[in-house]
Parts: sequence; structure tokens; C-alpha cells
Amino acid sequence: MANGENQNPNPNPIEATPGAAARTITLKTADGEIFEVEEAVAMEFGTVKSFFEDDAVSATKPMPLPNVSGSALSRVITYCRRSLEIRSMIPPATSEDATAAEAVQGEGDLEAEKAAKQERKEFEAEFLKDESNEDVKELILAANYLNIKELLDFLCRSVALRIQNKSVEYARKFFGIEGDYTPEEEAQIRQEYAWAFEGVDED
Amino acid sequence: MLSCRSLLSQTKNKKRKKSRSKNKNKNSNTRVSKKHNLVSKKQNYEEEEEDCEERFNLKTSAAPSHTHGVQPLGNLYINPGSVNSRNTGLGNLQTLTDELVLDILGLLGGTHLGVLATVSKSFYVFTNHEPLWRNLVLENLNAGFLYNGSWKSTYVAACYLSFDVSSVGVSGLRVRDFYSDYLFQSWLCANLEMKPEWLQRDNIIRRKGISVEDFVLNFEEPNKPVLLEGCLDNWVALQNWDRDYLLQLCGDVQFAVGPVDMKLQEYFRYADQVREERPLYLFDPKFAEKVPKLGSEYEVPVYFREDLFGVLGNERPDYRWIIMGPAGSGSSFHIDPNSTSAWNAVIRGSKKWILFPPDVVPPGVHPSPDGAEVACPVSIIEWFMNFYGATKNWEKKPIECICKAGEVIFVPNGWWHLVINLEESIAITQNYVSRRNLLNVLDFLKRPNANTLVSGTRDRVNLHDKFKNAIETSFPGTIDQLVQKAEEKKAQQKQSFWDSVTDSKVGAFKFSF
Repeated sequence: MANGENQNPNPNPIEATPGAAARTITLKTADGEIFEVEEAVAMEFGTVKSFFEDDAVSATKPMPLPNVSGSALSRVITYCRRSLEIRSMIPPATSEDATAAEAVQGEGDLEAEKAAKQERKEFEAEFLKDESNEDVKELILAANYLNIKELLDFLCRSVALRIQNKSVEYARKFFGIEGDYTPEEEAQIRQEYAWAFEGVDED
Repeated sequence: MLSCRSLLSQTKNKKRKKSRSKNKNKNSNTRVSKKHNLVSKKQNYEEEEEDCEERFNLKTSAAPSHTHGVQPLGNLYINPGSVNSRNTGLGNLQTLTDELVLDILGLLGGTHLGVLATVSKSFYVFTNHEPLWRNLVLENLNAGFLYNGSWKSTYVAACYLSFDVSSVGVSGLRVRDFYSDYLFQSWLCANLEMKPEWLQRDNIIRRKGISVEDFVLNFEEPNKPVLLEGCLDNWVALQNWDRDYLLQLCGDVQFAVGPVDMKLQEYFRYADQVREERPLYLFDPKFAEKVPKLGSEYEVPVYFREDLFGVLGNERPDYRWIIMGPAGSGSSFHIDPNSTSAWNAVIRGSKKWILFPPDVVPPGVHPSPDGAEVACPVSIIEWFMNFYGATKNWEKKPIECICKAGEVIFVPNGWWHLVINLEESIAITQNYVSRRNLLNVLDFLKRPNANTLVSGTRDRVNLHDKFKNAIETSFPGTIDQLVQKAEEKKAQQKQSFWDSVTDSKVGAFKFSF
């Protein structure tokens, strides 16, 4: 899974159009790892995109990413690659005329959308299965720094899923904290929030 | 009578444009900050301390400090050895930014937020962030809600009926040693008064009693804004429309308030209690259909009576709105839809306006290349705090004014504008197309992405054809006339350019011999 340095540029699995060279962009992480990434994938990173839009010249020099570690970037690249693949399963709406496009979108397209949704669900469930909270958090910071909205949304949703419906004690363990309320404050808080604990099982 | 929680400080005497940004009422968690850098924080500390206490005036009814004791990060630096309870209480989430933490919390339901609040003091502060509860109310209680002092209280009262909300003290817990710029700024913006220097500049042209020809020649044609006085004198609305009258007339009619509908009496109840950065704004395009009497108590000022979208009858896009809002409500920078012009008449209260011409993008505003989206991530108050000062040094200064009851402002098509209510206000605004603007509008509707840009109609794509045909039917030949006139004008301008080129050529020819 780890995509360390590459000796030769990856054959781009996504580019189907002939003649479009598999251009790669070089990224350098905080811990000195070098990644060569297909341009299409790298352009999913908002930070990289604006960097190269502003400075069209040095596509050859590696772009430094001082806030991202090699392991995080590797996971991010995997996610974005797969995400692009899934998105390419859905044929794009080509017509500018909305009514024509609506007429054309027949059952074939709806099927493709459904399949893509399912793929995404399975992929996302698998992607974070073995990640610790610390890893997930590192990924959030990376996705935030690289400005990848789709990944960031997914990660935030995942964290939210992990913490909802859990008891107070579980949450404290999950975050690695000790409660910092005094006994009097605790009593006051419990009264203020009695509504949230109605009928909730302490697990 | 109208409540007077005013934004004008005591020592001073002192419509609707649909917000173009999406998620206008779902509070985005972005915030422009000039103070995220830890290093500059230290240098800025004094400035910031000054900011909080001297340079900024809090509303007279505001609490003297953050409800739960949140302090800006700058304060952390004068307390050496102090530990930020924000971090200790977040545990392994502490390296996330405030915005990210709030993004995650924004995905949770009310019960989960309530449980989390008891986990640590830091979570208590974060989960009490009012915009979280506002989103929950607006998304889940859109059939109607009774505002109950705060969004959190509103949500709890509505969803947990067996719990007696009033039994809980209002202010809750104060937390010590919690430092967060984002949360502090959020509270500050909700409680800030407009600074006098933001209200000082008033450079709009004012006219009273001018003729329609004068207006068209000097303002509509050259596309310049103007403030018109005295043209609402015969409006019944100006005499009648106060709170009592409106409540009696239509207190239980549902009006459009941002993403939800609210009864007018519920809206007034909210407006009286609310103190937040982006108050909800009552902005209804169907007010005259809902309450015909309202429509009958005002009339379009004489300058704006040529309104060509009228040829579409009931199929015309939304064109008139009643606007009501408390102090601090308003619209951040945007350009009006369909390339139309607009007028905005204040019936009660007062509004501060800032306008930039079409070719000058206001500071802090980022339109997308096709103009379909306008990103102005900051609230109106925060725009004033962070960007207004920049305009002082610009050559192309904005046009500014305060529009008071009885006055009408003309907003020329394509102009950027921002409006903030300085006190609770009621206004009527209309968008319109006259012959001076007809070609612009047709061009706009013809654009390939017109189906995303064209607003206020259901039948977005065909509006151009419908409109053009309707004009041809009602005013045959008008479009051709206007096109011809425009081409003549262009040719004239071209001529003078070629004149100068020809002259210089002759000169060169001479000299080369």
C-alpha cells in the first residue's frame, strides 16, 4: 500500500485518452520522502493545484509539503486515486442544455451512479478499518492542509461516527483525557444536561 | 412599537438582495483571521488587548466578557505557565484547529452534543457554540420553532419535552484558562457595536424632487448610484408599518426567513432576543400575494416604473421583497441576479450601505470565474473589522451612505453592495429592467451557464427566449432599436481611436520621406 519513491513514473491507471501524457508531479514530505504522483491525482489537492496555477514554471521541481508526513501522504494519495476511479464510473453530463441532458440521462446512468455509490461505501469502510484515532487525526490534518474537501468531509464523518452514541467514560478514554470537572461542577452539569441522558444506557 | 436594540452607539446621533453565497444560513466555519500566526500574536497582543477593550465597543446589552470565559489566544502569552484548558480537555483532538473540531461536532445530533458537553470543560465550551444548535434547529425544526433565548435552549425545549428548560440557569458554567481565537472572535462579532468610523463616510449623491428624465440621464444611463429623498411621502406604509400594526394585520402569516418559514410574531420574538453574528433575516418575495394589503400600501417610485420583466406576467422572476431584520442583520457583498437594477426603500430603521462599481471587486470577496458563486466567508461585522480599513487607501473608494426611513437608494446593475441594519428595520426592495438595461439582461440570460445563474424562476433555461419574445410582442422593434443605438455608440468610440491612429500614420509617412 505504501507508495514510496518510484523509480519510473507510475503508468496512470486513470488516463484513458491517448496522447495525454501521464504527467506526474513530485511532492516532498516533511520527513523527506519523495512522491511522484499522477497529475490528475495531485490536482485533487487544492493546495497543490493553486501552487501550480500560480507558478506554472517549475512543474519539474518537487513541491515541499512541510506539514505532511510520508505515511499520511501515502494514504491520502491512495484515497484520491481510488476516489477518481470511482468518479470516472459515472459518465459526465456533456450537454449545456439542461433539459436535453435530463432527457438523455436514462437508466444506464442511474445504474452507474448506484454502482459508484456502492463502491465508494465499501471502499471508505475499508479505508479506515485499521486506522487508530491518532492516524485518523493525522489524516485530517493532512487533508486540511492539502485542502482536499472530499477526503476531509469523509474523515470528519468517520470521527463523528466513532464518537456518537458513546458514554461519557468511553469518550474520555477515546480522547485520552481525564474529566476536569469538580464534583460540584459535575453535579451542575449533569442537571443542565439531564435531557441528553434520558433513556441512554451507560455502556 | 419597534424594539430599539440599536447598533448606533449612544454618544453618536445618529430589501432584498438574495445572498449569492450558498449555505448562507448554515454557518460555515471559515473565518478570516489575521491572528493565527503564533509569532505575530505576541506582537499583536497589545493591539489586540486594545482592540477588545478600547477600540471596540460592545453593545450596551452585551455581557462584559464571553459567556463561558473564553479568552483570545493573546492572553495566554501574558500568563506564563498557564495551560490552555482547551487543549487538555480535547485530548488527542487538540492539534485540530477550532474549525475542524466544530466541523466534526456539526455532524452530531443534539443528544450526542449534550453527552459530549459533560466529558470535559473544553468540550463543554465547544458544544455550546451556538451556530451548532442553530443548524440543528433550522434543519430539524423547519416546521416552526419558538425562539427561547438561545438556539440551544430552543432546540432542547422543542425536542426534549419532558425536560424543563427554565429550571437551568441561563449562563451555565464559566471555564478558566480556555483560550481560543476562533471562539472568542465569534462571541466578539456577535456582540460588537458598529464603530463610529465605519459609519462616518457618506459620499453618495443625494437628490430630491428630480424629474424622471434627470434621473435616467444622470444616474440610470451612466449606471451611477443615487439616494433619493422625498419620493415615499405618499406611502401609506410609512405611516402605518410598525410592529403593532403588522402584528395585527398578519402576525400569524408565514414569511420566508432564510432557509425556513416563520410566523411574523415568532420572528419578532426571535429578533428581540437574538444576539448573534449573522442574525436571520426576513426576506419574502411573495409578501404582496400573502397579504395583499401590504402590497397596496406602497407604490413603485416614479423613477422605476418602467419594468420590462412585467411583460412576463406571472412567469416573471421574483422581483419584490419585504425585508425585516434586527440590528446586525443584512446582506454581505453580492451583485444582484439577472443583471437587473434595484431600488431599496427604508420604511423603518436605518441601513448602512457600501457599494463598489462592477469592475472593482471588494476586498475579502472572491467571485468564481463565471460569477456563479460569490465567496465572502466572513460575516458583515467581521468584514468591517478586517477589510473596511483597507478601502481608506484605495483610489477607487466605495460609495457609502446611511439610508434612513423615507429614503430610497438606487442600486445600478452590476454593482457590488453590502447592507447592514443599524437598528431594527423594515424595507421594500424591487429589482427591475428598463430599456437602459434591457440588452445587458438579455445577454446575461443568454449565457451558457444561465441555468445556474438565473435566479428566482422555476423555468431557468428558457427565460431568455420567453423574455425576448414577450418584449417583441409587447414592444415590437425595441430590441433592434437598442442594438442599433449601441452599435452606433461603439462605432463612434471606434472612430475616435482610428482618427488618432490615422493622424500618426500620416505623420510617419511624412517623415519617412
